[in-house]
Amino acid sequence: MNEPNEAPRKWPWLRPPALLLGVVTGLTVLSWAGREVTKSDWHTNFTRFHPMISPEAMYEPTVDEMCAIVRARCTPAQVLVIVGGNSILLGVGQPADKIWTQRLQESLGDRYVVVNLAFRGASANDAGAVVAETLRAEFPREIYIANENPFQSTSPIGTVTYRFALLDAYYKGYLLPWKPRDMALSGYLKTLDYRDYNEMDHEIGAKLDSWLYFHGLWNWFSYTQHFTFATTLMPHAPEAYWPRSRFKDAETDFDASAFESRFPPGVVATDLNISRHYSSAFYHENSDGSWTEDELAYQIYVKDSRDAFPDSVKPRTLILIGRNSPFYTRQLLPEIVARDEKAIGDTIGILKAQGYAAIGYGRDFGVEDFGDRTHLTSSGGAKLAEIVAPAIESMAQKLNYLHP
Amino acid sequence: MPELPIFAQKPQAKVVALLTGIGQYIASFGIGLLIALLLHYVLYRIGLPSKPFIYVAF
Repeated sequence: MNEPNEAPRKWPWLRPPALLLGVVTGLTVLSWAGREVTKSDWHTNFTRFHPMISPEAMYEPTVDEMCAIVRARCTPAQVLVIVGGNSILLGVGQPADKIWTQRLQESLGDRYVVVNLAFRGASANDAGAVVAETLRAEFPREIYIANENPFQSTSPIGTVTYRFALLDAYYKGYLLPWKPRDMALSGYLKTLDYRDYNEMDHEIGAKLDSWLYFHGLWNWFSYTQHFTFATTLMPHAPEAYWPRSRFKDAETDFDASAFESRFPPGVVATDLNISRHYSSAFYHENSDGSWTEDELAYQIYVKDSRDAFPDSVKPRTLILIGRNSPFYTRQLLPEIVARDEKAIGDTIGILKAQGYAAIGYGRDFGVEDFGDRTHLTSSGGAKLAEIVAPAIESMAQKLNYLHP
Repeated sequence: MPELPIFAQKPQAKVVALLTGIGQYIASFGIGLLIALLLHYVLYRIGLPSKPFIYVAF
């Protein structure tokens, strides 16, 4: 009996078992490489995540990568101060050599190490907080700083832009169990709303990355060798393909630009309106001109601030509550200023009742200390450092970090 | 003409067949490595957002 003729194979020389073995071996080696490269810090001369090494330029640092930045600068015997939060604490408008975290480091001295992991538009519990929580056991003397506006609610899972860091740490098992966060994340991952069909599903992506470490390896390649694609921020060759290490922290200096260019009429009108309503949603005015908090807004903030960080992390977390530039607040009615002051005081009170440390800043700052409505000039940054340094020292004392 | 089993071939032909076989396995393995590299990179690329974050201070 004749055997049936087999159809000729397209690539008769191809050996499927060897091909499969090659794929498996390749992925294993690449995953190992991704895991290994992120163990060491490749961000030499790091001051902060400037735009070219941030999501604005399609660079999403992994949590391991950020932990390596910390490990390269701090020993467990020192007090680690991680600065998170948004562009204000990132030091927008302050060049690298005049950044406020450098002033803070100088004020605190060698016993402390300040690492700036803030990002533009980040909330208090975004990437910097994720790194602080990840390193909680390795650096037992740790303080985390972030900033908020009065009564600014924060989701337990932070903002969408920086959720990559939360998912990264979550699926690598770095985070503490924290029911509000676990529930919020579960709800988020179950909804279809967050999905963008032009990109990988966040849950699948983070799970795969926890095995294959592709973000770690390709971030290393992008930073040290070549960036592999053009981005909106850097659209043209050859700069688009330069390793990101070639781009220096080129933050503009508020002090080098004229006041009129920072406060043009259109911006002033908008920012004055924002300043006027800075805390308007949280209070009702009484007939005698005093203010009573809105009960619902108050309760929402109490719940959100309770859920934003795990309980064990709160005592080592310092939240800074900012004021607007006096250029704007001086134009407000006294009762509006009084309401804002009450909002700041009430926010600090709520945060302290939840177990956080909290302070306000900006009360004695001048117009020259602000580059715009909220961001600080170098002089404002220096004043912020002067306020924050004693608060950190007090926390370190209270948390018993200063014993030998 | 059908290819003879390797033990039935002449010594020189055996060596050629053996080397060809090894070469095919090495080439297949190498292609597997390249596929892994491509797959690893593609996972990284599609794991990034489709649009960059645009920072607007307000």
